[in-house]
Amino acid sequence: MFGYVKPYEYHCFVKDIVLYKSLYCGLCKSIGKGCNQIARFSVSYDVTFLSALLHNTEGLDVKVEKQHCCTHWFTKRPVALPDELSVTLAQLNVLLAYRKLLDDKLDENKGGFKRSVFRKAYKKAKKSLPEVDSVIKEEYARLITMEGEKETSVDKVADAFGVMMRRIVSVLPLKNKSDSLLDFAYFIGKWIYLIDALDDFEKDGKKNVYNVFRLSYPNARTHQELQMHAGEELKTIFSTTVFAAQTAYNDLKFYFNHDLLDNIVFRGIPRETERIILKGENNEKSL
Amino acid sequence: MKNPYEVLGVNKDDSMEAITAKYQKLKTVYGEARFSAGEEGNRAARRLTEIEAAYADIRAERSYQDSTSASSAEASGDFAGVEAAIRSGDLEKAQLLLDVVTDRTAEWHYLQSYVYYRKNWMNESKKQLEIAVSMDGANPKYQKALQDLNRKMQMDQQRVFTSGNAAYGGQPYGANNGQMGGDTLSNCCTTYLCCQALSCFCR
Repeated sequence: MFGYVKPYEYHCFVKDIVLYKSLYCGLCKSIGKGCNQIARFSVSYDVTFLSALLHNTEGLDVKVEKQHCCTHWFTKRPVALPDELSVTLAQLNVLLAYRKLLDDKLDENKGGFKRSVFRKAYKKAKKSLPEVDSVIKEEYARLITMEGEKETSVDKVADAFGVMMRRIVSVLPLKNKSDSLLDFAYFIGKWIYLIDALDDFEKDGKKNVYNVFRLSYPNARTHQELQMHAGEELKTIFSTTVFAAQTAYNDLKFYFNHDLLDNIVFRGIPRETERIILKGENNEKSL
Repeated sequence: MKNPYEVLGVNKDDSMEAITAKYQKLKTVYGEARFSAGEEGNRAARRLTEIEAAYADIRAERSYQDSTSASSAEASGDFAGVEAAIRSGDLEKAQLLLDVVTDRTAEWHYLQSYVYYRKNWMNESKKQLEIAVSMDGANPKYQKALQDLNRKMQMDQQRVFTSGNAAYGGQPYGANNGQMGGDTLSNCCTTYLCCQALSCFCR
């Protein structure tokens, strides 16, 4: 999907880095099982986080085994073996990835080859999760309408993505769907939309593609100018969203140790936010 | 998770004066304790941040609540329904009622700000309050609400970007529940550490 929801490795326990990588590899294998092998290229950090979160809130432990894979032939790597939940999330991953490709076609008229490659996997995922597919279609349509109307309100346009994530989690086959989980999904969805828009600020300007920050701050053309004109305001916009997500997160009930999730929510996401707000000034890259 | 009222040790229906008095008392206690040496000082500093943040949240929320409940008796036909809908939590109805109003006074923008605040659309909420203040700067209600919202937003920023464990009552690192993935992960970690140790010896 977008790839911003990830841990901050410098502050992560080794056990959690290994768990995270196992879940990532496990999601990749689950995509192969739930859709097809080609679609494995769409594996994302965001859905890996969702896998870590939902396995924990559902009380479903993962079985980790060392296995080879198509990109790691010589050494075996720890992989969280596919289970029902990870296959469902793998199909969700494919649905979101395909919808992103359709969005790229509308914005930049590109991605035709990738879409043709993913089409079969998308159809299989859609057959398994028809409700999720309709939710994604409806909310993306709402988003496209707002983008077409050149909506300048950051909250309004990101709301569509937040609502999409909330609705997706509400229709997934889960036992424990608390209000806090749905609220958390909403704020994470909102954050993902905004951070992606901020990251693509310059690129969207050059391609003349809708970007809510370009419309909200028309005097800034580069990231540095945006940071100069509106750095504090950007921090405020993101911090209120992240704080609301963290508040909802604190109400979740976990069945297992959640150090990895804590790292992502309390360190990874704020760090990624700062990195992208300061992009252009700060050359530090995430490992 | 503790809510802001729990952090300050007050009840939801306590008056703002009582809450402020409690806040001042806690601020004095932890304001002094944070200069203690070592972990005690650190704990007091974290507690002080929690207290400041909780008070900022309560003030922002109460700014709207107290003013809408006080004015409801004399609210005009246009806004009485909006205020009632907001109080009952029906934000969609409140928004629909606001959308049909054509004469958008400062009070309209103030109530629109409250609806956005309740939806957690803080940026939009702030913009509406700024419009209300620019239309009727003499009204202290709008100024106070804007100040309280700004303060809350600054506290949110501080909590998110400077703390590794935001909000009050965040569950600590290393909680005792079992690790997902179990023994295989421990073996992977052991292997990793052995490899690190071996590479140190070989150098």
